[in-house]
Amino acid sequence: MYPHERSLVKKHPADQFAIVGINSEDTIEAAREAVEKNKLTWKSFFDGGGTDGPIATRWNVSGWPTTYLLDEHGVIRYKDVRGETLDAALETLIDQWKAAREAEAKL
Amino acid sequence: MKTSTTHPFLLLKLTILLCLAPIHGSASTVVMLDDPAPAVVTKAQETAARVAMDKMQKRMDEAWTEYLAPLREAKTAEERDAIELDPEKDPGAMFLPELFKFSSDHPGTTACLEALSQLISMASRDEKNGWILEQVVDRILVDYIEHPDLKDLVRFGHYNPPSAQNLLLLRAVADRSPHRSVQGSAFYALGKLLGSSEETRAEGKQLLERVQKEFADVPFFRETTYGEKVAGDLFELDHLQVGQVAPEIIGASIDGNLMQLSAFRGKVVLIDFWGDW
Repeated sequence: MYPHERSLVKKHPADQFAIVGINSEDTIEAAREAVEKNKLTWKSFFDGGGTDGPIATRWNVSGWPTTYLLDEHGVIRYKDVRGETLDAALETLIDQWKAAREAEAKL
Repeated sequence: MKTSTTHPFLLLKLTILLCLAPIHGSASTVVMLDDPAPAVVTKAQETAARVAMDKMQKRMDEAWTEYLAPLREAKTAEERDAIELDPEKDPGAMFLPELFKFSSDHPGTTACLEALSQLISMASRDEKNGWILEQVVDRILVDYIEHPDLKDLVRFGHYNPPSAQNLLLLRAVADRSPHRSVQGSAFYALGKLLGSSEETRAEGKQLLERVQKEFADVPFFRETTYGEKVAGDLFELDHLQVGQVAPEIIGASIDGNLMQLSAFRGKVVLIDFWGDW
């Protein structure tokens, strides 16, 4: 997952796309190590240590990784899409983002 | 006197038979479903099945260890991601015929229930095995509907696809198990499965609400009860569906700063619940 995510962050400009992680490592030290080891350039919440942290519990997460893809309005558009499906889903949302900017420019 | 007409008595008998045939047919179907004849098992048969199952389980465990070895030996996440396991050699598919035969050879034993439980998830993975799934479900309902271990079989039933057979099994167990704890598990798995697709979401939610009302104290897994579990599921159904605005997250980041999800509005965002294990 990490190489794919890194490629997405590289491909899409930062004003269009961001990854927000929620990390369930047991300790903050382990979380920091994991960020460094996997060369993650994006930010992650630290969920208090362990898989039963407050964010994962509220979001009813029972498997890792679990992902949600949101559009620019914060609306959930896809759940748990991976690989080429994720690429295609992201492409759709980025196209919508660009279309919205073009529409704004015409106003 | 020679006559070419059918004997009146024979005609009457035929008429009766013809009239009875459909009734008789449906009656026997009802009998099969409502009054099953569970296999009678002797202690010797139970022991023989256990020994055979343990042997087979050991071989399956070894096959899994070998199959997954490349993943275990990979040193980095990149290496792990690059590995493609051959689905032809997947033990989950390879052992299916053997497990199925085992379940036919040892009907009614506790070991057979374990085999049937594994068969459900194996046969659910490929539509061409639908006929196996059908027979497995039949066998469970006939031989094990009153078995308390049925809880282990239905507890994670929502991880299998919502096929007609899986739904039939969960509905039957929810309605007919004499054990409250088994019933609660079946209602929960059924609610989760139905809740996962848009057309049946309303029914799924109703079932989960019923679990909250009637089975909240029933243990789910380890320390968790269904009451605790279902609260999260109902929140997910109400607030975490496609088309809904994602709930706000405010908290500390790994590097120690306060951050909030809504600050990313204006961008497409991939939320990733992750852990490096």
